[in-house]
Amino acid sequence: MSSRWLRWMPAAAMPVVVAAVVLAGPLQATAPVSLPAKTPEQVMALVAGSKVQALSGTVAETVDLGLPQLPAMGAGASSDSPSGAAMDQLLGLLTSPQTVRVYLDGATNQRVQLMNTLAEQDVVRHGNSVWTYNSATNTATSLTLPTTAPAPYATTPKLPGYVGPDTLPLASKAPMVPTPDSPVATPAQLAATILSNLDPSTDVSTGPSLSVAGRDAYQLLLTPRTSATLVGEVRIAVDAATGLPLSVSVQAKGSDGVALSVAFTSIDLTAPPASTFLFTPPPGATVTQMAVPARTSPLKTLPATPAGPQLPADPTTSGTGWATIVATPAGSVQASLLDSAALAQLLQDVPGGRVLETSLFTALVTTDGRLFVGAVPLAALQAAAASQ
Amino acid sequence: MSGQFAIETHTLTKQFGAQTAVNGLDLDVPTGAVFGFLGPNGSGKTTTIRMLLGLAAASSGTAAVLGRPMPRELDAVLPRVGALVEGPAFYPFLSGRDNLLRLDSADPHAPRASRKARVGQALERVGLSPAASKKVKAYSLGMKQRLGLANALLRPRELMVLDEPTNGLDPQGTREVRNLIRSLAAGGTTVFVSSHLLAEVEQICTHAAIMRAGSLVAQGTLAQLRGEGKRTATVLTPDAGAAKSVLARLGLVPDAGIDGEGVADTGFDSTVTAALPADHLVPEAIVAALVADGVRVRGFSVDTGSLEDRFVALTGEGFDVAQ
Amino acid sequence: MPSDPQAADSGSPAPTPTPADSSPQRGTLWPLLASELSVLFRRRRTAAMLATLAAVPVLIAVAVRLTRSTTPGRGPAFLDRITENGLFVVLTALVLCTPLFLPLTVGVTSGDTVAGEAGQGTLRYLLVAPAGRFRLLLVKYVGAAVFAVAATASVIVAGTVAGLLLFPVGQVPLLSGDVVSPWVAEGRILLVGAYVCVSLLGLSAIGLFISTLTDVPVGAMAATVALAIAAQVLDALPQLAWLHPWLFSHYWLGFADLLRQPIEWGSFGSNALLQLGYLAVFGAFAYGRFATKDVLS
Ligand SMILES: Nc1ncnc2c1ncn2[C@@H]1O[C@H](COP(=O)(O)OP(=O)(O)OP(=O)(O)O)[C@@H](O)[C@H]1O
Ligand SMILES: [Mg+2]
Repeated sequence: MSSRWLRWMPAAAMPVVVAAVVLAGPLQATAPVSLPAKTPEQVMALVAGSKVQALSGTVAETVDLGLPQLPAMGAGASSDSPSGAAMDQLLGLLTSPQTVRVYLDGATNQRVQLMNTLAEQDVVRHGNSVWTYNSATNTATSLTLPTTAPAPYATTPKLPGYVGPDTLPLASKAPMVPTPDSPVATPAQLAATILSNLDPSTDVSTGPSLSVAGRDAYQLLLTPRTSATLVGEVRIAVDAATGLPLSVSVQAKGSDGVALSVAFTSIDLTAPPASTFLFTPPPGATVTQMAVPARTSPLKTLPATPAGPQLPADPTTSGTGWATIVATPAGSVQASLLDSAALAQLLQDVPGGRVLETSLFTALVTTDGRLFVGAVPLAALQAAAASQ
Repeated sequence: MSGQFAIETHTLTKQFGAQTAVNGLDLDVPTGAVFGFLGPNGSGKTTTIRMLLGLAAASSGTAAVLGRPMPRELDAVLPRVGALVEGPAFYPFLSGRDNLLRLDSADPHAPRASRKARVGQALERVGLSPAASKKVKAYSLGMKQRLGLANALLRPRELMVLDEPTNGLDPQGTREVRNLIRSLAAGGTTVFVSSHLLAEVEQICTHAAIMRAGSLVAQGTLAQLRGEGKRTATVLTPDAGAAKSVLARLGLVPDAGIDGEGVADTGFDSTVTAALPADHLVPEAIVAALVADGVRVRGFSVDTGSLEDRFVALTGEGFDVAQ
Repeated sequence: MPSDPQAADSGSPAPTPTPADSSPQRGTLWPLLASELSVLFRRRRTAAMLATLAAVPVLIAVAVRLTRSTTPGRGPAFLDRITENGLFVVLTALVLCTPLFLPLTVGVTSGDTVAGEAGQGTLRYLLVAPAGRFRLLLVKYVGAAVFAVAATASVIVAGTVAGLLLFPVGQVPLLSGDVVSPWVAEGRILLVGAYVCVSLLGLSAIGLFISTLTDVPVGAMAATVALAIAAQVLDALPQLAWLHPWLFSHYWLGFADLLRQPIEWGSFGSNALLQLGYLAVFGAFAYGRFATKDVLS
């Protein structure tokens, strides 16, 4: 009966309508944007001349490093030792997307909120006073920066619980390494770090303009000239109106997918209310006062990982540009660091040690406790380990 | 009223998978009739009713109720139809009254202002007023059946479709239902009632149809249905053997009786029955022949076939349901 | 011909079948909806489910009150805050109820919508009334949605009362560490309640659809609840990350975004759109199925 079929019409049509709506959204977002043409140099000049001092925005970070995926880690992760738990958290950041809200007003007013499920980690800076707050543990720490604190983009404090390239022996000297620095990095911070370290080993060009967080943007394409690195291409979207980098994405060599992406999903360039930066720990929170040792970046002193890995001796580097390899001396990697159950799943045994291989970088821990890290294939690390 | 027929179907067919539950049904229920819808278990009566009420879609064929095609004009037709389909069904945790209130509010045409009053009247009419506030789970089968009838009576209807309305009722209830149907018919309502109780159908119906294994085997007025059946001559006599031989001589075939000879020995008087073909000799000639042979005739009657005979003749003696 | 001597004076007044004296109050959904809601909430089962939901925050509050020892970071989120602030009883209860108890009760109610009537046989009488298949489906869905609201409200009201009675209530810290007054916090909790209600709309639509597939209400309930659990299991498998944003349970715990300072509305919007999508698709499926279904029960 035809009327019978007619009644199924909505059921047939509705999925199509929903699919159309779903597909129309991204299509609109990727609609081509027409902007007056600019050379790569002009775009970089635009970034350098950016005057954005205040913004509120949401940053989405996605990571797809080709790591075996771990089951979602809820509260009460697998590892018992504190450093193991910290490592679990780091790996969680490496394998799952993050959403961060960022509020900036001038050089010394910052607030960063890492939004977890049912929890949040905040870093609030107002003048020289910095608060961190972790809602899951209801703990707050306070510290006062020395008056000589560096510029905001370089100093954004790390979140509590943070284990990163500067607590690991992965020095910021190799900025091209896709560091898990991202939890608090805005695209602007990341782009600034990358652009300030550009050298002739990188080919800079422009890509098609695009729309990011509803704003028209130029696109810079950075391509390593060497084939010795795992990095294929870095793309930076630069707001046409203000020069503010709106997104950074990194592709691994020989891959179409984005290995790492940090992008504003929404941004508002008006100043956030002043109250945003005024933080008082809530009643009942455990508050810790931190002293800031002189001449040390506050990054490394936050009590993020109370019993976390100790900073190893100064690392050495070999290689240049994109193919830089960072190495630490023997004994610098403690066994406790490898306690993490999650990490154990990721590490593979290879001749001479254990290795963490991702699509963008490789880390090798030798049997004598040396660590080699670089945006290079495993073979390069093994060669470096053998030659030292 | 719209048209001559309250219900009219044309080659109405319903298939359940490979099984044909209703097969090419051509049913004509005249407006104003009390129509008995007969058939053994599983012959397709309820299935037909479901199709008429738009509960199930016909596999093929058409149906019109109150002159409107069904199920296309269902919304216009059903408010004018009261129905009891395959037994009553209610919310066990609600009282009888609340059940009726719920079903009445499901009808967007039912006036809200008179809802309570109409429910009260319907309960009164089926004799349930004393139990109106009792939860339905505490009702007996017959009380539920009455409540189902009350639901069909919530509003004045042009057509009542009643599927086995007396199922589970006590003798008083059965009689009340009969009276109810008569009074409905007297008020001009067409009543379409399915039943196995042939005696009952004979008492109240003006028309009937007989189903067998999904097909219609007969329909018409009650007189027509009976008339098409055979007449029977019955002799009441103590001289059973003699009567039997006289009947045989007259060319009649006495029915097989208890003793296998068409003779039921009931003490002093016995009854001898024989089918009476329509074109056979007049009854008084039979009596004359019996008396002439010295048979002591103490009673004699000629019965036009009962509906039951007709029913059994059309649907078979077998006890097993079809399929 | 045998005849009933009583037939003539049967006493029943003859009805006057005036052709549909119906002043067709067309499109009036309200009487049926009111009747549906009254039937739903007069069921003992509904009352039992609401009471069970209300018991969750009460049990949490009593247990915390009696033991008085909570370790930060252990147990469900917010549990360690209850001793400081009674309003966290509600939030802890919602963290527990949103993935489990609420979908369970909503699955039972929405799975029962059509299948319950069919299994009981009342479906045929509603349709013959005639309720109209679309109207009936609509009313059934609204009924299930109202139950979802009532279920959430049950947790919130019981939680608030238990929290107020057993614990002190003062300035309430949000996830971001900022504090707000108890009134503002209660406002946020109501927003969270709205979020949770919206979260359950998609599941209700799925339950409604499943309910049109069968005459066995228990089957429809079990299938709906099983789907709710399956969706959450899938949501926890990182291998299926591409699927996660499309799972109706994906944003269920996103209500915490309403407890940040400032409020993060993104997940509210995403959740509402997602649930709307599920409602549209499964509502259409349910209609297609129900409007063409043979009612044979
Ligand atoms: N839902 C169903 N699925 C498959 N077959 C069915 C279904 N309902 C009825 N039938 C079949 O259709 C046929 C007619 O059934 P129906 O219920 O119409 O009989 P009925 O005449 O009402 O019998 P009864 O006098 O026992 O009520 C039966 O053979 C039955 O097996
Ligand atoms: Mg039947």
